Amino acid sequence: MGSTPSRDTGYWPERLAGAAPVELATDTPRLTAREYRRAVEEVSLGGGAAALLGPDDTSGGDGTAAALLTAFAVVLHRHTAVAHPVIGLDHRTPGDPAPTAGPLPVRVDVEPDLTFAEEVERTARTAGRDLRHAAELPATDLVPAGFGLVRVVLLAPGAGPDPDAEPDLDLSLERRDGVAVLCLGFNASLFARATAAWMLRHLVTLLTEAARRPELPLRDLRLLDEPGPPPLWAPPTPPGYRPLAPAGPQESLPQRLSAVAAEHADLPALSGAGGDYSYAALDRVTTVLAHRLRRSAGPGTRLALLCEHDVDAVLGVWAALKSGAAYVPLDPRMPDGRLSRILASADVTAIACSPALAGRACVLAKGRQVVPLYPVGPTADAPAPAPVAAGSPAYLLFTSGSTGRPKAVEQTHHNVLEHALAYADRIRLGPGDRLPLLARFTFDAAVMDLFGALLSGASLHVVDPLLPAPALRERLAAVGTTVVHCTPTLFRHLVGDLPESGPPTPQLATVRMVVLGGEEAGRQDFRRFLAAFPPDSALVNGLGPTECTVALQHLAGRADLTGAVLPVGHPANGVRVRLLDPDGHPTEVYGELEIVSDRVAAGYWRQPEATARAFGTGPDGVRFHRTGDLVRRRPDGSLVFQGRKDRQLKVRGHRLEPGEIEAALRAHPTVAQAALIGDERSGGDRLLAYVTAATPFPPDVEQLTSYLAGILPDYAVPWRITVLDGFPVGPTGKLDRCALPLPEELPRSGDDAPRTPVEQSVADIWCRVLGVTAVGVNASFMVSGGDSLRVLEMLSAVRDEFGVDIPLIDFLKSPTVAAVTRAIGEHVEQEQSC
Amino acid sequence: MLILTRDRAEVPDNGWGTHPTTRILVGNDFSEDVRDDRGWTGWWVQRLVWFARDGDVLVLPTAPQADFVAYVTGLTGTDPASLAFVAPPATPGTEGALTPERLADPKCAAAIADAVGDREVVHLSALWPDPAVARLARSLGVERAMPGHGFVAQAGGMLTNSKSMFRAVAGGVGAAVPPGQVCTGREVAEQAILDLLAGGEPVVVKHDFLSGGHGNEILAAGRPVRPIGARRVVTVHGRADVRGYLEDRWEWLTAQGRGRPVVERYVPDSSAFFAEYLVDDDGPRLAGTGELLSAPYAVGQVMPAPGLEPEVYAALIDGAERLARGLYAIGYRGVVCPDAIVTPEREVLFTEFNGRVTGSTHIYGVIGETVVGPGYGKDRIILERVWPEGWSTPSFATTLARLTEAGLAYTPQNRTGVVLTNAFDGTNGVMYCVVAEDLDRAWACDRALAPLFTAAG
Repeated sequence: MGSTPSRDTGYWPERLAGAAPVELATDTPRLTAREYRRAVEEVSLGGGAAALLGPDDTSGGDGTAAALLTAFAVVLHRHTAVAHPVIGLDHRTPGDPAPTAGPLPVRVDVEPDLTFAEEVERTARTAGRDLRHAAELPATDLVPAGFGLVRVVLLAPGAGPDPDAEPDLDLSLERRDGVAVLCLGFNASLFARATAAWMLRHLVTLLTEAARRPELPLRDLRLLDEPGPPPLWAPPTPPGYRPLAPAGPQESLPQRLSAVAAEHADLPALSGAGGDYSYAALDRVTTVLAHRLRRSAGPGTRLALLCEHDVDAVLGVWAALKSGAAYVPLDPRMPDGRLSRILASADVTAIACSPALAGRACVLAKGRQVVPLYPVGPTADAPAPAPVAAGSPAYLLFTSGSTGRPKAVEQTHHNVLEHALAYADRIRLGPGDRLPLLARFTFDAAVMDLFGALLSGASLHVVDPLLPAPALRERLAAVGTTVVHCTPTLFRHLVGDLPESGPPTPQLATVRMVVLGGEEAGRQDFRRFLAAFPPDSALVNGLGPTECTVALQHLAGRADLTGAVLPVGHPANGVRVRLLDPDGHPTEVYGELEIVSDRVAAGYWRQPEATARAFGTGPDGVRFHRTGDLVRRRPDGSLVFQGRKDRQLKVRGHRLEPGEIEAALRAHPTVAQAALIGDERSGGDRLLAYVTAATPFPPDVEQLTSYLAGILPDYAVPWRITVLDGFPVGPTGKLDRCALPLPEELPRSGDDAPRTPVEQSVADIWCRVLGVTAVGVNASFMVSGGDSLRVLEMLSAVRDEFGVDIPLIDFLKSPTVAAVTRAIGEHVEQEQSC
Repeated sequence: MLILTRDRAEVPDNGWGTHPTTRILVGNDFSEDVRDDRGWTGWWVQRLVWFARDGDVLVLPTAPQADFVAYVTGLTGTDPASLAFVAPPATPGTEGALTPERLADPKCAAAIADAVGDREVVHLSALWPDPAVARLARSLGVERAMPGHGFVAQAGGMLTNSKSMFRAVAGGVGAAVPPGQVCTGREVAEQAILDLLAGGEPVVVKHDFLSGGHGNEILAAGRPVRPIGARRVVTVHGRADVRGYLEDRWEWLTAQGRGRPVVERYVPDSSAFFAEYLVDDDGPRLAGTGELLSAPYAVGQVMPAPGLEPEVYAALIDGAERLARGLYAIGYRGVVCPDAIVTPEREVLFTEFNGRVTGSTHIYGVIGETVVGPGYGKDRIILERVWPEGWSTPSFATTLARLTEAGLAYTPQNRTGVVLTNAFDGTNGVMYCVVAEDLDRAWACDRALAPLFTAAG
């Protein structure tokens, strides 16, 4: 790498504009890691790989450095997906102990379509230019110029590490007795030795492959050896556990239920506020209800179910399935506008509903039939319904859609049955198990419990998760819960008030398994699990999108106590996974998760373009689904969730496509443009919307908020809507989201600030619960980032501080500081008058 | 190129070669049978030039602005020298419009006949289906060349542009409309308004014939609303207020007895869309769609209709086609544009139809389909804007020069930029539209125009 310095002050800003620091996933969280502690892993290189790195001398010429730099960059690129990794280059000569400026940065542009030799040639050229420009800068300018990006270093041969640099990794090539030895120094406070050895093996495999197959492009050069088998899946298994019979090719969900009901007729199947049902009763009652539905629903149709979280929802599901219709669950907590959109989009023929919701259903029906699910008498009976084809749709589950319309995943009877059996198999479900149904039937999490329990002979108990934590634990104990399946958020609510150490909680003593999913879980959750649940119970963390409900699972073990996050694990039975690079090519360590399984859903209901983007069938005839989730493979082969490839947000456990909210805003007559981002200051739980005016009437923020609240779920209503004169645009003329101004934390209007001591105290509680610095007295708790569980926490704190018990229902009618203050005032007045 | 309806008279080759033909396009505004508050609209009807083909005869209130004609024909490829423009004699006060008297003037027919010469007239149509145009066709002896002549001659244009008739047709063909009714008398209107207000939502009272929101007034009893698509909001507190309002406004609402007002539920936060059809002897065919921007009145359009979910779009098309078929069945031929609101619940409710060449036809039909070309609706959209309040320009030529200098004028090479859609309005503006890759870019371009035409600029 020659040197012909030429001063160019614009060089580095331009060069570093597209570069990113190499942020390797660490084994220990960076925040809590101890001080820098260097350790070294070494490996000797064989003939082909060694030859690729240049002549057998110890000086390490330019060619050697460029080849090693290229190999290092490719491995880092594969581990992080950073396209232009910045690597520090130690350019000292052997015996030069006193570097003046530390490693100099070079940016390597990894182009996966080039061969290794082509990439080396290009790297030599660009790195030489970087070094010439870096050498021109005084040492004091290096960090301000952006050289703080350097976290990994390539050492000069024989130079040894720079003691001040403290890089995450340093790589060097030594020649010992004619043998090339690769040495990977690593910060042992961040990385386990096994991880360093794993990365070093990747370098060796890459170099060996490049030497053996020089014609291959970089993207096709392997890093990994053949993966070993996944670890043994050995969850706690009840005595007498008997695996379930596999699904027959023509078997539908009602067929399996009838078979289970025949075998376990007198066992309890379902309970809730609305009643208790044995398996025999469940089968009979749902057959009678299906008979009542025959004029409104049948094969090829879709039946909406508007039910509260009670046994009605479960009965309705089975009645719909027996009728042959696909069910479309509706959550009555959603605004009419949202439910109307779902009804229209699903093209339902009728709405079946809890009797108490018949009035609401009639308002929504707009000409469709409404069938209240009135109780079935003890002697009522009906002929067995006609068989349902296994390939016919079982349900449409709606999620957020990126183009402005709700998106529904369509799943077949056969696939749901397969998922349920796979779940039951993994969790070892059977008669004697008792599962609380905590998720509403509108979430795919409910699919696992609803079908997993009732198709395995276990009993299902509809439990309101929005109980205060002690009451919720009591309720779980009352039903003798053996398996708890919930989101990490609900899990934290369930055990968050318990001591972090001490004997297991008596109310949870019957629990054998806890299954988490839907959000990221961390080691803190595992610690809480170990403290609260029996020592012989197990924690499972998983990932399963609505498009393939049971996909990845991880049985937590002691090793997870030191890790930064809980992995989502390995593929479940009948599932394979692939990782894809940004161009859709297979990759090995870091990429978009693609699930390959016969259980993958058919696609999105009546959205052929979205379906084509996310679904397909491989050459082997097996379906696949591109999830949009980014995952990283660990040395043990398990996968860790790393975020989203697209703009999808997860707000309090709910999938949310910004495009849907933007489209809703754009549909308002006063709005021209709309943009939505997550507020990173609140961990992304708060949504920020921006609009511009379409007409001389500027958009009215209050009107827009009220409009959105009428058509979107509460978690999708932005915390703040900001009206801009125009949107910031980038060089291509497209919206520059990063340049959108963040609204102030403090309420803009002085009128909205807390004024009385009680208002201030209530506002303080809100801030503590919501994790914000200020709230306006008229701001909605839900829109400010609150959810049902945080409501409970906040009301509990209000009760503790003021001695006032505000009913949840009353609070939700007007969830503001002002309303809570009024309620406190009224309570005090009543007390005084008594 | 989209024309009005297809040519009526086919001229067989008689063995002596192709017989020379021509078309007569009449740039009238609206019929005096429905309103008589006509102002100066001479500039507005010059959009007729967009529809011109080589050899056409265009009848306009005044000679069109030469720079506008050159600009339009430069974009459409029509030979301006081949066009003939006829401006019938005017009396004081009628210079800006083609009144029935001007069209009936024998000198008008003579001037048109002179422009036609010995060519065969194969087509005659007008922007507005006015009986005065049907009489002109008869006086020229070319009724056969005028699509739907019989319907227009018997004042059918009143039917195709009436909101009360619209509700009748919509009810007949099954197109969804907001709750409400046609009011045959003041007492009927009073009760209809009170019944709707009792439902908790505001009410819009509509003049039978006025368009663009200029004929709508909102009555609200509860929370305040902003008059989007209406001229104002009137707060009422009970029967007495409603009765007082109707006493004040009945004469205006009925167009001095010519029409019957309509009372409808007003659905806040709704957006307005159109699906325009071309009805000829073969039936209706979809010509264009768009979104209407109104606050308070029509201030722009986006074409084609953006952001509609497939089922909502399908409902818009289904209802609009039903309405178009209804008019086809009774003999109407020409452009018909049903308008609908899409409510927050994504219901499509039709609110009116306009059986005439609308303010959208030349934009999607010529600027979109011909000037932009096959990419229109695929990689290009159009944002049309009424000249904004506070902007000013002295002439068409100056407007174009400023746009060109700023690099914002439309170029066929990029297929993006600003197209001036009409002649200088005689006071301070020129209507325009922005052609862009997407709506965000269109708005960005639109915002870049402000400095060119405001004092700050």
